[in-house]
Amino acid sequence: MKRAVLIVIIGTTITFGAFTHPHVFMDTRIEVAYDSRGMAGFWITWRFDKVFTCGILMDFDCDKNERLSPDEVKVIEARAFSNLVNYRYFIYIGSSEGQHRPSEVRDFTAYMEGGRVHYRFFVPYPLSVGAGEVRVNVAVYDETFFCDIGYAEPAALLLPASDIFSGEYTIREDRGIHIDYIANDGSAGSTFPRQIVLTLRRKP
Amino acid sequence: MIGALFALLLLLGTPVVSAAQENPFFGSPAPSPAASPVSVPTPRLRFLIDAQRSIRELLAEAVEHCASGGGVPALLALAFAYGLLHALGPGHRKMALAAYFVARPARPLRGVTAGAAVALLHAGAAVMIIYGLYYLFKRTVTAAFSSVSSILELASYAAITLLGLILLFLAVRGSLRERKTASKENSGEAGGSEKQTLTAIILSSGVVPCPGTALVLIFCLSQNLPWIGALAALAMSAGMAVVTIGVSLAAILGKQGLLSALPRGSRLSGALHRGLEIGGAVLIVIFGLFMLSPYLVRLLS
Repeated sequence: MKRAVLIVIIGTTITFGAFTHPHVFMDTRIEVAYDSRGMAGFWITWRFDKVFTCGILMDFDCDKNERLSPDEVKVIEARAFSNLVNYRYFIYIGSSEGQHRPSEVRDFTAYMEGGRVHYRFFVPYPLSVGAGEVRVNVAVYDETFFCDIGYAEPAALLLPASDIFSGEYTIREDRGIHIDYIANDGSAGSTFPRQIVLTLRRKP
Repeated sequence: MIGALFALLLLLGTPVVSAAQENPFFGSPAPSPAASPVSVPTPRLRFLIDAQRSIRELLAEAVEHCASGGGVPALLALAFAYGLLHALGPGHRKMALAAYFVARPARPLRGVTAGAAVALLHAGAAVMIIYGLYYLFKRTVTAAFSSVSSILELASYAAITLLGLILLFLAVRGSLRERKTASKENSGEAGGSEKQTLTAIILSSGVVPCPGTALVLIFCLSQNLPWIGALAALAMSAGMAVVTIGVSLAAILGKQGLLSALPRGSRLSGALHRGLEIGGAVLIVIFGLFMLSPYLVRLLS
């Protein structure tokens, strides 16, 4: 028994030290954009924690007015956003068209609201909505886990009013992405990232 | 015997699911280590992460409170708690430290010293770099910190790998000598080479600045509270030390307990001792190489 306890202690010690941990905390809000055929893509808004906000302001708010001018936003885009292309902007999209990791986004902006820096940008993802229902899954998480990305509450996804389309969403675990792990007590298991499951349809 | 084998398997077979963490927001748009395996938090770690998120918000508010003339003790208490939670979560070179103490003989006091030293260095490096960047360049502290950290991480992982290889060499050589001479007892405490290798593992592990501490320092600087920032970093390192000392002691006492459960001087005890020495060293090498792998891939691609 004593030996078993010791084995668990050693195993726990080693296992516990093996994982990474977040340094930036952010919440995501997703807004669907329509065009005449169906969905044009998503607007993504990230709201950062106070400490990360402070770093951005210290580095890029040149006039120290705690507001971000267009020129400052350009610098932020170049120096504190564009590198995210290597991380595919932490975005995972799935639909009947297959899996998609965006390599291009547009209309980036950054602004201050409620004492926090926000990033907002558009992810093109054209998807026609015909007679039947269309289902799209969107997940936002950082594989390296430097950032802990949650979904904004209470409305993680916004569906703009439309005369042509309607829809609804739920948030649930993505059982399609299987992440194996060994827990702190040495037991093995699996976990799944949370994803937004969006259903769109054409109004009759 | 089964227990010993299981312990060794645990040591050697533990999956290392994370690669080097770089700040994804900064740096040039070149291929980065982002393509490493996923490391979404386990449900068991989720509560630690949520607690960190909350306590960091409270910490930021406490710094703002200090800036408007509020009390410092509450801020330091929060910084201590944040450091503790931060280190309870994954990372902080706990693995290198624990593997070292599994591989090499040491008394508990040495584990306490090493754990405290790593935590202090980890936070101290952040203080030196952030304040150095701030007072030398005044601007782009966060982005520059990310670049400096990447270089230090690369050096740290290379040093850890090299150290693992040295420990492996020492373990194999010791094992071969042992076969030639009489059976070896658990030596218990380190000689001169042990002090050197321990110092090396402390330096190579601790030299990487703590990004969590760095962000708190940047926040204090933004409020024009550099001394409070330094005190908060010290409080954070004290919180982190609780965990790193705990991990070191768990490894030392766990190993001692495991070995003492077997008949002293028996072949099994000797074999387990050698196995742990070699296994721990191999684990350090694997850890170092794994953490180096994104950099190597980038270098070769």
